[in-house]
Amino acid sequence: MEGKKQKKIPFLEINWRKFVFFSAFFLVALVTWQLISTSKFSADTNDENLAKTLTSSTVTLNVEGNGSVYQDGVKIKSRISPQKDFDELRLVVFDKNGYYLDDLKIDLTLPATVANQSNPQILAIHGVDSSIAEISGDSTIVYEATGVSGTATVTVIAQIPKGIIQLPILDRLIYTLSNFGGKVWFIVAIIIPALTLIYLFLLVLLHQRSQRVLAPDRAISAPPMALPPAVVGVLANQDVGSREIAATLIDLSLRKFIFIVDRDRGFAFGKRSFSGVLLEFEKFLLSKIFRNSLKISEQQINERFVDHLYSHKMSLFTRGIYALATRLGYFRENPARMHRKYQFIGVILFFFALICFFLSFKYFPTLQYVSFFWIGMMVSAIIVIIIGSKMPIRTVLGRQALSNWLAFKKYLSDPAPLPYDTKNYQKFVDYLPYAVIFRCEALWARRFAEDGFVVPDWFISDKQGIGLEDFCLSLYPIIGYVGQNLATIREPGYK
Amino acid sequence: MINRDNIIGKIVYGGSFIFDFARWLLLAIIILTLVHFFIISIFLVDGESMDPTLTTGEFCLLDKISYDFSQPQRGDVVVLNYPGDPQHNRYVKRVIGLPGETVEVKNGSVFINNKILTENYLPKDIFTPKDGVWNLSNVEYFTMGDNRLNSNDSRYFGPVEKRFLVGKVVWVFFPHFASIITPSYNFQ
Repeated sequence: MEGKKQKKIPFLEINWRKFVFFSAFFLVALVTWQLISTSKFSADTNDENLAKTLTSSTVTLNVEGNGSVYQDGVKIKSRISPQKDFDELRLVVFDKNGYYLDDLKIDLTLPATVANQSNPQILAIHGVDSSIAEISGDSTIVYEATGVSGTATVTVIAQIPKGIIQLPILDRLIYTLSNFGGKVWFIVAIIIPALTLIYLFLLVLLHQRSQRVLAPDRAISAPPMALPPAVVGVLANQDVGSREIAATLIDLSLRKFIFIVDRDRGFAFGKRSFSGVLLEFEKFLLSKIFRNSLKISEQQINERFVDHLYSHKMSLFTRGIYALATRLGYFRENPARMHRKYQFIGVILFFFALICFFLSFKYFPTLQYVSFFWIGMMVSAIIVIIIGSKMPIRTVLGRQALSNWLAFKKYLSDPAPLPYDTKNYQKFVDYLPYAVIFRCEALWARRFAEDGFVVPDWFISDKQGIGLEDFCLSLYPIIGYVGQNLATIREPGYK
Repeated sequence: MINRDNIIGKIVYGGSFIFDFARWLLLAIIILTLVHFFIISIFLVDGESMDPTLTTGEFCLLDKISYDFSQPQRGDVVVLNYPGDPQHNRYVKRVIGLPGETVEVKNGSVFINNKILTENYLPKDIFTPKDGVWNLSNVEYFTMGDNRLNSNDSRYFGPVEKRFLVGKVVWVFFPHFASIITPSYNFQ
């Protein structure tokens, strides 16, 4: 059967679907950013526009007690900005308007009789013959520029003593925050994730203490019950990861559903007849790898493997394992649901912080160091996602079952060598999926003598006379690699 | 011997390259944004006010972090937010006068605290127009472009407070490479 053809960039092996998706994503992000950067809000009067459409040679400015500024009776966007020793008006009144003015006069009225303390200045560049700022009354300042060319920029400045202007809370807050130096924000950026980490860690610890899993006092030499390795993995880790997938693949090999081929040029998975009983989630995994094809080229399989940003089948596979473990009564609630809860919080927090991070540079130039705070928030969000999913939710039955399985793990990782025996070698492969689940496959292999090992019939290699070590060195990377890759597409890449 | 007829499927490569790429790209963008705003930045010279030290079309590296730990020195080439429109206009100039000094431009020469300033990076016999005297406060710097005849600088818009200084120009890296070294001065 011919699979659907997908074009690839030959050098990078890039999948076109993903390439187009992310290109479109970044394009949209770029356009959005440009729109935000250049947008002018028509609902708000913009002082820059006023400056550009100035036609009169006399401008009247009024500063209100709340910091608002009116130009010729119209409220403008510019406001009084707080500084350390004074509140400052710094306003561009003429900016490259394109026409010549013989004389430009700006009358500024302050909200109190403090004109003589306001250190008025006029900055006039790019073609202005002369400029002057004068106090003309207790609360009035007159700025004047002559010979103002069409390319000139004229700015008026007044420094109003503290206490005259009652600035809004937001302005004062921004000013207060902007006064904290970079060091303060840097420390905040470290403290926030640290506190999140400590809080969640303590929470997990507290839950673990109340739901203690009894440490086994002895090792047991056989699995305590007939459970699929993946379910044992969920019971132990509350998560379906690469090891659960790898262990399932070995288990399927042991049960003669698939076989693994190891060659110099790569490896392959072969499919045998699916006549035996397969669990629902195992079907999804096999379907993901083989689909229904009878013969599939390497190219097609490879494309299939990278076909999606995430695989729905792998998602169903993980859901199936969680559901089975929950049905067996091992968890108070489905672990997938608990994961989603923390993922949702973490992802929302992360993207909120990411957006604020970029917007803070654009809209709050005096608050650049606050970006450290948003970085801290993003790190916290990642911590919430990672640590939150570790919250123990096992039932009494689950804890008891896990305790039994840990006794079996004790046996698998026991350093004492097992006697040379053909039966023991059979044990090695039979228990290998569980050793993979408990991360003790290397310790498990060390219990066996190198000599006399017979490679199981589901592992086909073109090397002759391979021993136990060669077998492990060949199998583990293959299984680990496939498990890892399949694990990355089981959900839409939140990790 | 392998019965190759049995092999009906194989997996060689893993997926998620682009996903990983996107993740690292996001991280790179965040780091580059932080570097751009706080550590170093790149800018393009536009205008002739710093001729011959900097000319239009040159790409320069701007050190933004130095002035968090040290004070600007006389002769530093700096990027500053134009005090008349700090959010929209940036200029590249040279620091001539330091806080607390008196700067005077008279008869085409520059005086610092009544001593004539010799600037060896300027073309010989260059004339500095726009006479005036400026007493700098303890937060103000006097800046001028090296192209004295064609530069809008502190002679026109007055001294610049430190809060308007963005950073120090350290390198020109395109179309040629040159290190911008702070010169030493002689007073006569």
